[in-house]
Amino acid sequence: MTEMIKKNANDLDRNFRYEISKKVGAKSLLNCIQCGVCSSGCTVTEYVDMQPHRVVASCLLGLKDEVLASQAIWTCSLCHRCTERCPKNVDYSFILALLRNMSVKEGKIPKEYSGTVVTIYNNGYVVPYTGGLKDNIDRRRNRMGLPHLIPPNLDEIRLIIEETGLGELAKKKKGEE
Amino acid sequence: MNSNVMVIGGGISGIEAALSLGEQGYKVILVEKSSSVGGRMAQLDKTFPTLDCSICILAPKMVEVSRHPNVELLVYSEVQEVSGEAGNFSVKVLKKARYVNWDACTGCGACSEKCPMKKIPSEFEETMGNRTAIYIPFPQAVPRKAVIDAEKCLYFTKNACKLCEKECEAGAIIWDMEDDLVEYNVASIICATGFDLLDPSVLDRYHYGDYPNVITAMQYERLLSASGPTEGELLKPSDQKHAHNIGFISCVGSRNMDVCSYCSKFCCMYQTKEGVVTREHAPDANVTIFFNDIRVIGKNQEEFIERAKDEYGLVYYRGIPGDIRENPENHNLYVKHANLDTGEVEISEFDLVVLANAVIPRKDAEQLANILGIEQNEFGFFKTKDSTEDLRSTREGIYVTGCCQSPDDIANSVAKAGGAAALAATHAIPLSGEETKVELIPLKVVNPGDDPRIGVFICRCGINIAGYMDVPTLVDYAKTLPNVVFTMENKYSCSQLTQDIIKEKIEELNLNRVVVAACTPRTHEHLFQKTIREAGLNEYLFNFVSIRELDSWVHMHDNPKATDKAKDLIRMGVARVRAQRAELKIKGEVIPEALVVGGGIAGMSAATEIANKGFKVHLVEKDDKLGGQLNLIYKINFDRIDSRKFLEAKLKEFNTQKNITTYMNSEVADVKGSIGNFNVKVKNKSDGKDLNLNVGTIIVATGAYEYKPESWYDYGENDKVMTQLELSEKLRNDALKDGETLVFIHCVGSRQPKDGNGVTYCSLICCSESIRHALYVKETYPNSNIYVLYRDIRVGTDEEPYYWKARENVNYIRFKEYPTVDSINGKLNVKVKDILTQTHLNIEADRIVLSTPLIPHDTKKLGEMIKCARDQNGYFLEAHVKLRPVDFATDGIYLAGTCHSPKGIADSISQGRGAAAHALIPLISGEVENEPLVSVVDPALCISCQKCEEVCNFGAIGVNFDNDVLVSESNPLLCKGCGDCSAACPAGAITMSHFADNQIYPMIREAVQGEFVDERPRIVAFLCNWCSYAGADTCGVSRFQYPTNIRPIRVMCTGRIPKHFVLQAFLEGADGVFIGGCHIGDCHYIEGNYDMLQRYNELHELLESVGINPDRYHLEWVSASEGKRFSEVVTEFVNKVKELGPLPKTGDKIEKKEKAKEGA
Repeated sequence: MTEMIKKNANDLDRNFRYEISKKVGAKSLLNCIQCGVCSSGCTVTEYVDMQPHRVVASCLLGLKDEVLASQAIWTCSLCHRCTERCPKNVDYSFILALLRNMSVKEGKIPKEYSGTVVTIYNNGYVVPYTGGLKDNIDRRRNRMGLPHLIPPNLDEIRLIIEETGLGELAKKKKGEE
Repeated sequence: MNSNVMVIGGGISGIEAALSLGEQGYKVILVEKSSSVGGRMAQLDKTFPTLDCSICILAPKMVEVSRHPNVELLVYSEVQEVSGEAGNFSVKVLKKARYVNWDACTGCGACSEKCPMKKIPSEFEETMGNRTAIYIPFPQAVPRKAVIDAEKCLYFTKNACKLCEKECEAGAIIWDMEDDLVEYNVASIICATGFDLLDPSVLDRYHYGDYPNVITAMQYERLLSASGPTEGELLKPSDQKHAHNIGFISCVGSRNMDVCSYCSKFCCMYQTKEGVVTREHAPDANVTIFFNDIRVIGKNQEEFIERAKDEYGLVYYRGIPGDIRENPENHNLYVKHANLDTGEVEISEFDLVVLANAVIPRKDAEQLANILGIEQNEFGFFKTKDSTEDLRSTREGIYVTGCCQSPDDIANSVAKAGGAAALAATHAIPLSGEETKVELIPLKVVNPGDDPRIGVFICRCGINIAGYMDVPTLVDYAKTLPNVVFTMENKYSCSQLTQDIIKEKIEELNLNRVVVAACTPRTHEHLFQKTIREAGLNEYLFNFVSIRELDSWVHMHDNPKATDKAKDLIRMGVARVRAQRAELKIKGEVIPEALVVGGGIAGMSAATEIANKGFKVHLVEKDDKLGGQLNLIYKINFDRIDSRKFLEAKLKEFNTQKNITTYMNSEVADVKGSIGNFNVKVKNKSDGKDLNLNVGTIIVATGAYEYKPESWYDYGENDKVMTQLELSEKLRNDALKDGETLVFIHCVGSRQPKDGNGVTYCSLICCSESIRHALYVKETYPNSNIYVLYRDIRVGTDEEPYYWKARENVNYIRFKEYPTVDSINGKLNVKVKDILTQTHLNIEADRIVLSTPLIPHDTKKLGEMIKCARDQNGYFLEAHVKLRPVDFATDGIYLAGTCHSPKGIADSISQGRGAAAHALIPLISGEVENEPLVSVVDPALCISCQKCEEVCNFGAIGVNFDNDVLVSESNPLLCKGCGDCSAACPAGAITMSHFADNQIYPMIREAVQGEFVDERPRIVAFLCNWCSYAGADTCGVSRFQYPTNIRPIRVMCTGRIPKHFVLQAFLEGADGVFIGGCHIGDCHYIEGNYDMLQRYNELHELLESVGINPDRYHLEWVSASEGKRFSEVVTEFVNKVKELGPLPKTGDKIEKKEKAKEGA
C-alpha cells in the first residue's frame, strides 16, 4: 500500500500543470481523465514508487515537490507503451523527460545519474577508457582486427555539458568529491 | 393530406414507433434491412435492471407489429431515394430478391437442414455460430421465412446443388426472383436504424481475433442465451469447456480520442447485467468488471449495481486494463490493470475476457443521411437541432429515434419512439374508420355444455423454465389430464412460430380451450388471447399458467420440487379453463379531451402534441407559472441555451394553442372513472373553488425538485454553502468574485446506503450540471480555483468532450470517503482524501457547492386517486421498465418527465411527446374495449339486501327501486370487475364473469390434491392482480427464492375472496391459506382490501371456533415493487405452518390437537 501524502491546498503549486503543459509537445498533460491504461501497460511497474497515472494526477493537482523528488520519473524505460495506449493521447514518456529536466534544474537528481555526468565530463566516455580497462578493450579490438579508438574531444564534450547547464551539476558533484 | 408514415428500421425503437402510429390509425410502412424485425434487442439474453428475458418481452411486439392491420412490413428492403417535402415525400424502396416465395414458405426450416453450406458465420450469432446459405436468421424471427444468400449459395456461385428446392414441400424456391423497386408516398419519415459495434481488433492491445478467449459483449450475450450457439452454456471458444473466471473490460474504443470520443452510454450497465446473469448460470464463476467511471443511465440502476456487488459478488476494479497476455498452453488470459483505488498495479488471470466495444454509427449512416437529406453530428450519429431536441432531424418531416441518434437503452428508445411517432403524425391524417376496419373470422360457437377439448402449450423459455424443471415430464403429465387432447412444449411460446402452431392445432383438432404455461399473464396473456381469437376462438377460453415467475425463477435450486409444483399449477389451470366461458368485450366511448397534471416542460410538451391533433387539453399546474424547474436554471446544457428565452419561446408556442386550457395554482382533488371517461375534480388553491372535468385520458407529469441538503455540510447555516441550482442563480446575477476558491462536492444525499442520509439512487443529471458550472465559472472568473470532489463522473454520450475540457483547468479529486467541512473563523475548511494522488488535502474554500439529487414531488395522494403505484423512492411506477416507460398499469393514464425518474430536458420533452402519442390512441379511435370482467346478478337468487351496494365503490351495482321486483342490478359500464360485491353477497346471487366461483373452486381443489406430491405443508395463496401477484412477478424477475409450498390463485382484488373460498381450501386439505393484497390505501378498486381485512378478521375468530388454528390463515399487504418482501413473507408463513404441522383430517382430532397447541 502506498504511503499517503498530507497537504494543504495552499501549498500546492497551482501553476505546475501549466509549467509542464506550456512546453512544446506537453499540452496533452491536461487531457488526462484518469482511466489507468498507462499504468496497466507499464513495463517497469514493479520498480516505481508512483505509477504513471498517479504521477499525472499529481502533476495536475500541483504536487510539484513530490513529483520531482519521486524516483518514478527516473525509472521509466521510455518504452512508450503508455503513450501509445493512452485514449487521450497524453504523451507520458515525453512529459517524463520534461520532469527530469525540471528535476535536474532543482538539483533533485539521483546520484547514479549525476555520477554518470561527472564520468562523461572527466573522460568523455560513459565507460572510462583508461588503465586496466583500456588494456582489455584494446586487446579485444586487436583480436577482432578493429582499429584503435580515437579519444573523444574532451573540450567539445565539456563545452556541451557546461552550455546545457549540466556543467553546474558536474562542478557541484566534483566539489562534493 | 396523406395517411402514410414510413419507419426505417425494425429494431425495438422502430417497432414501437410503427405500433404507436398504427394504433393511432395511421398507415405505417416499416422498412427493415434484414429479413426479420427485432434488431439488437432480439440478440440480447436479458435486459437490465430487471433481468427480463429480452426475446420474451420483445417477441410479442414483433408478432404484434407483423399482424397489425395498419402496418405494412417490408423486410429485406432498403430505402434508396427520397424526394419531395414534409407532408409529401416520395420514397423508393428496394425490395431485395429473397429467392423464396414468402406466400408459400411455411418457415419449417427443412431447406436449411439440407443446405450443404453449413459453415457460414451467422450475423445473428455474432459469428459464434453458423448459418446456411438458405436460412431463417433466428428461431423467433418475424416473419419466419427463409431467404437465400446469393453470395454464398452453391447454385448462384457454382451453378450446382439446388437441394433446397427438392426439399421444399411448399415449392417456395424461385431461382429467378429479381430485386423490386417500389415507390411510396408518405407524409413523414421516422429513422430508427440503430447502431453498429466497433471491431475491437483496432485496439491491438486486447488481441481480439488473436486470442480465442477474448470476445465481445454481444458475443457473450449469445453465449448466455438459451437459444444461442451453446444453448446457454458458458463455454470458452478455445476448448468448449466451462469458463470460471470472467473479466469484463469497459471503454473499448469509447471515451477515446483516436477511436470514439464519446461515451457509449449503456456498456457499464450491460456488463453488470451480464455479470449477474453469469453468476446465475454458474454460481461458482468469478466475475470482475474493469471500469473507469461506472455509469448508470436510468431508473433503479444504481440499486442494481449495489445488488450486483452485495448479492451476486461481482468485483469492480477501477482502472482500464492496457494489456492482455495469453498463456499459449491453456489459452488463459493475464490482464494487467491499475487499481485506481490503491494506486497499485495488479495482474489477474481469466479464462474468458469480454470487451465492451464502442457503439458506433451504422456503416451506412452516411449513405442514408445523404438519401434522406439529413445531417450527421461530429460522431456520425444523426444530428438534431440542439441539445433539447432528440427527435427532429435537420430536415422538416424526418424524425430520428433510438440509437441512430445517440446510443441509448431500450426504455429510452421506446419512449423516444412514441415521441417521434407523435411528431411524425403531425404531417399526416389518420385513416378513416372504414379503412382501418378489421375483418376477423367468425367466432366458433362454444356452448357451456360442449365437451372441453383443451390444448396445453408448455414453454421452455430457452432455459429460463427448462433449466430449472423437467419440461418433458410436464408434457407427459399434462396429456393425462381430463379433456386435454393436445400437449406440446415450445422453445419460446411467444414466438411467431408457436402462434402459428396454436392456430393450426385449434383448427386441426377442433380445440375449444387453450392453456399456455409460460412466464406471466401480466405481460403475455394478451398475445395469446389475440392468437386464439385469430383462429376463431373467443379470447376468454384461454388460461395462462405462470410457471416462470411463480415457479422456475423462484425455485432455481430444486428441480424435482419445481417440476411437481408446475404439475400442480398446470392441473389447476386446466381445471379452471374447463369452466371458462366465452365472454364479449364491453365497448365504451372516449371523451375526446385529455388532462395533463403538471406544467413543467414534460407536461407542456405532452399537452402541445395532443392539442396539435385537435383535442382539447386541460393542464393543471400547482404553481403560478408554467415551466417548472426550467424557471430555476440559468443556462441549459452545454450549448448554453438561455433558459428564460427558451421558456419564453415555448410559452409563446404554447399560448397560441387554442385547444389548451391551463389551470394555475390548482391541484387534482379527485379522480373517478376509467379510460375513456375520467371524472376529475380540480381544486383552485387560491380561491378554494372546485371545478369538474370529464376527460378520456390523463397524463401525469408532476416532476421533481432539487434536494435541499439541510443535514449536510452546514447547508442552510452558512450562506457560502449552496446547491448547484443556487449557484446557477448566482451566475445569472453575476454574483461571484474572481479569484475565489470553489469546492464542488458531488453525490450529496444521492447514492447513499439504504437508510442513509439521503436517497439510494443516482440522480443522473448532476454531474453534467457541475461540469457546466465549472466551465462557466472558469470562463467568467478566470482566476478562480475550482476543486471538484467526485465519486464517478456520469455524463451523457455527447457530453464527454465537455468533461474533458473541464478537466484541463479544474482540479478533479476522486473520493471514496465523504469529505468533511469545518467552519473555522468564518473560513470553510474542506478535508478530503484524494484516491488519485493518494493525498490528504486540506482546502480553504470561499464557497462550497453541493450536487444534490432530484426528489419527486409528493404524489402519494395523487397516486392513490389514480390508482397508480410509486416505487420505493417515490417515483411513479411505469407499467414495464423497458417496454412501457410512459404507460401506467392502469389503462388510460400515462406518465412523463421527472416524476418517472431523474432525467434531463431533452429526455423529458421526448417522454412528454411519447406519453402524448400513447394518450392519443384512445382519443383518436374514440372507442375503448373494456375487459368483460363484470358482475352479473341472478335476479332469482337476489334477496335485495343491498350488501353489494354497500361495498361497491363505483356505484355500479344496487337495488333499482323503480322496478316492480326489487332486485339488484349491475351496470357493466361502471363495473370495474373487482368482485367485492360477489364476495359480499350472502345469497350467492352475483357471478363475476371470468372470475366465477365455479372457475375458482376447481383451482382450490386441484391446488391441494396433487396425487403425487407428498410435500407438506400445502398452502393455497390468493393474490390480487395489481399488487401481490405483481409483487410475486417482481420477486420472480429478481430471482428471490422461497419455498415451493404455495399454490397461487390470481384474483383481481382481495375483495373478491369470500370466506367460503378460504374454508373450502381448508376443507380440501390445505394446511394454510395465504392472502396477498395491496397496501391499505393503494387498492386498485379504492377499498376492496378494507373489505378483505374485515372478512379476514371475522373469519379468524370463526376458524378458532371450528378448531383450526387461526395462524394457518394469513393476510399480507405486498405491493408490486416489493419482490423481496414477497419472498420473505411467504418463507415466513411457510415456516410457521411447517411448525404447526399438517392439518389433521377429522373434525374432533383437529379441535383437540390445535387447541392443545394453543394452550401450550
